[in-house]
Amino acid sequence: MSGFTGTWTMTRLFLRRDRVRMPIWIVSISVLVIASVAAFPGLYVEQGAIDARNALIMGNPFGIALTGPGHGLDEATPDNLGPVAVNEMSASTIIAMAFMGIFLVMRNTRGEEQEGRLELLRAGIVGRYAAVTAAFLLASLAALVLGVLLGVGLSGWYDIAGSFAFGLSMASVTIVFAAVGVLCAQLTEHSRAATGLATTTFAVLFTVRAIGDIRDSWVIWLSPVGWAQAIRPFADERWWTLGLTGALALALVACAFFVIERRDVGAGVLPTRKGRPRASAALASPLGLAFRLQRGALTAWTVGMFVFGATLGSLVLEGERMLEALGDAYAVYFGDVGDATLMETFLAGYLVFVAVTAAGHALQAVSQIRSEEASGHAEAQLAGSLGKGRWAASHVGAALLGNVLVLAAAGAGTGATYALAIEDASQFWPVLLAMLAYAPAVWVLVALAVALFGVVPRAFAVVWAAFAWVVVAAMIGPLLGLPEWTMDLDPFAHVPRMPAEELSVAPLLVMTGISAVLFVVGFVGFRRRGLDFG
Amino acid sequence: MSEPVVECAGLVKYFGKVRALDGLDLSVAPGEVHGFLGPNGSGKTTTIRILLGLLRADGGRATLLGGDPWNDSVELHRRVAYVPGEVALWPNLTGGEAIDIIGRTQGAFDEKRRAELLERFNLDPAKKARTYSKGNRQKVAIVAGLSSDAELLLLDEPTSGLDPLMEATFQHVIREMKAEGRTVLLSSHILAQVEALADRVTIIRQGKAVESGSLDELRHLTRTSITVVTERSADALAHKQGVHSITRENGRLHFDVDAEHLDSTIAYLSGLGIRSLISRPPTLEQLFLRHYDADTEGVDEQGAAR
Repeated sequence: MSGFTGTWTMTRLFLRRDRVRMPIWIVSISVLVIASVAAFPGLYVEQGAIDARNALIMGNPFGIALTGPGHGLDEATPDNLGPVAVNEMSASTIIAMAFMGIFLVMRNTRGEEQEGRLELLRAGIVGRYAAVTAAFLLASLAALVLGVLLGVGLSGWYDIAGSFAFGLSMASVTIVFAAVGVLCAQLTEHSRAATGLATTTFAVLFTVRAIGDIRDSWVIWLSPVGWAQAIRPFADERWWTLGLTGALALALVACAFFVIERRDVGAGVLPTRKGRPRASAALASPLGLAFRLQRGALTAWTVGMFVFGATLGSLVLEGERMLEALGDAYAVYFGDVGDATLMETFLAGYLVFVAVTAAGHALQAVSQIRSEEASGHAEAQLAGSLGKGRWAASHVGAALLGNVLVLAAAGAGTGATYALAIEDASQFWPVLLAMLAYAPAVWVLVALAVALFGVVPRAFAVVWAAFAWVVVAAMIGPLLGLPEWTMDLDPFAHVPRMPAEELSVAPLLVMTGISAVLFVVGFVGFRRRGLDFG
Repeated sequence: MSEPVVECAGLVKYFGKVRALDGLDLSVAPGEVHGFLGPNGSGKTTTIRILLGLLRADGGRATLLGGDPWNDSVELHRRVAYVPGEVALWPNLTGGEAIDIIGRTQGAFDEKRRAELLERFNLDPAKKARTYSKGNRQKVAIVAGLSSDAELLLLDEPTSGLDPLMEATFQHVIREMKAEGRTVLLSSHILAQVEALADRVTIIRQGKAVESGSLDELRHLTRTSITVVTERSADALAHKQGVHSITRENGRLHFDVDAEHLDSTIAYLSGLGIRSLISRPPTLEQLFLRHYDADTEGVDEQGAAR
């Protein structure tokens, strides 16, 4: 099969390119998951705590959506915490690992092709399938290493078979989404669009699985995420589900080969539209250009976050019904919630997730300032009469304004369905306000990015580490039992939890002040330094 | 002459609705340097990418070294080297690493030649690709492509961004390769380069070959420039057939004459008593301009340059 000639050469090249990136993915995910799992024995010493936790999580649709089917939870005891660990960790692990799979293959497939480097290689003795096969194999290798690490890590506390069933099912779902990435990479001309297609596919399949779990129905079998969780770690493992995911991955890669056999190098399958021959008036201003460059991404984020919010809001009614059946058990888990209704407490808790996700948009948008500089586009603009300050302000302004839109869309989506669910239209506004109150927390992250950009542009990626920290703190921070001051570093922890809490302006003002200082540092730094093309 | 190394007949390629290649014919004989001339967006790169099996032709036939470029691409690439006109390198790898990576994917990579070419092109292989200028990135592609022992070289505007000194070095290297008996398809819009290197030339316009032949053959199609001083007035020259654009300056007469009327024109001048005569052969430039006069427009650049 000459199509595969050169696969080994490609594999070595991609290994060389990813020699830092791949270990970072593997180490950070495995450390986070294992550290969280290690915390459970200290957290659930008594049977009562376990029962309350299970009743609460499995008793409301948000809980089920963000965890999983909960196989074996009925038998969970302080000596058999495996099912609890799996229930708690599998959804977030699947999200992290699916993204790892998609990003790792995209970079080496459509990314290389878009840059024109694939053409150079394919002009040599390299078969049509070689690059795709190598990228897929490497991502699969990363997934398997990570899966085995999780298995080994968990078996330190829990049963070996269950630990490895968990690790390998996580690896299998990663491999499926690496294959989804490989196929999407064949369809569009640009890697950003292909990444969007692949992550949207993941979001849809994750949601399908969540619906299946909430209804406890066959719907889970429509999604590979459902198959991965159906392996039932620590609860009479069904190893054959690994065969399902493996077969799907191979089928997807075969589809990718089918497309490759029929398309030109550099081209996609989905059509790209023809652009305008002239720049519109809005494009002539630097702010207009900054907006134009992220128009596609902003539209996708706005729509996506509206739907995300609407989905959460719409679960409220079903949740209330379940909670009524539950009785007092929730108090054990949640403690005193004061005057707020339980639904408000829940909603406030989930708004943090939405806000942190929206912060991802802001950082993606503001990182354009650095990529525009490194790619040399800024040079062309700054060589004219445009000043550095105004140029930078345009990109930062576009990111901040765009993010307000994204937050508002998320708030409106959540508020609308929430108000519908509780049949009280006046509740729309408090939810929207609660969402917008997260803006200053997002600004702190954006301002950090700008400060890095101005002072140490080559260390710009540090802002993503900060973002990763915020995600970890929001999702599993309390579980990890980290010192108080480290949790205080997370700006999102300081935003009042509306609508369960009252609006308090002081922390928002403090965060706005911190942002302002960081912005000034960034702008002064940028003004003083030369352009950096690293 | 034996079997052609490259043979295209009626090649058609669409990008969407744009007809980038419109029935292109091209034939390259073994051992020759074949110039492939055309303006931006005329379809040169598209043709070469089809020959490399990177693009699929929508019609017509292309043969490379007796094989099918799409189906036999991997086998064929063992015998082919490619230098693109625009090189994308891995920004965080060095030039030397990039050369080895590209070289590893080519047949018969010659270490000795790699070292020699680095020396001749004065390229520092230890620098990261992101620090290279356009010219230096191009040198990476040249060194990587020409270090192989391939029997056919596909060069797509290979010296874009090189300075004149490096251009001279490049021409030198290509002449050596020709002496070794290799075949070269040289796509270019630098006429001087093609004129210096090519045995035969194909001129392409809007995806079609409009002229093909040896430089000598093509020169017959165009005009020779003549500057002459005669004893008796040559005013009647203006009425002679095939004589164009006469100007007079300090008693000297400049004009162009069609190839087929050269003999009769010189005979006429001779009768007037020639005191001095300078004749310049037609340049490729004139050939080129004749085919790309102001009335022509290249194929939509975006479409064909992909």
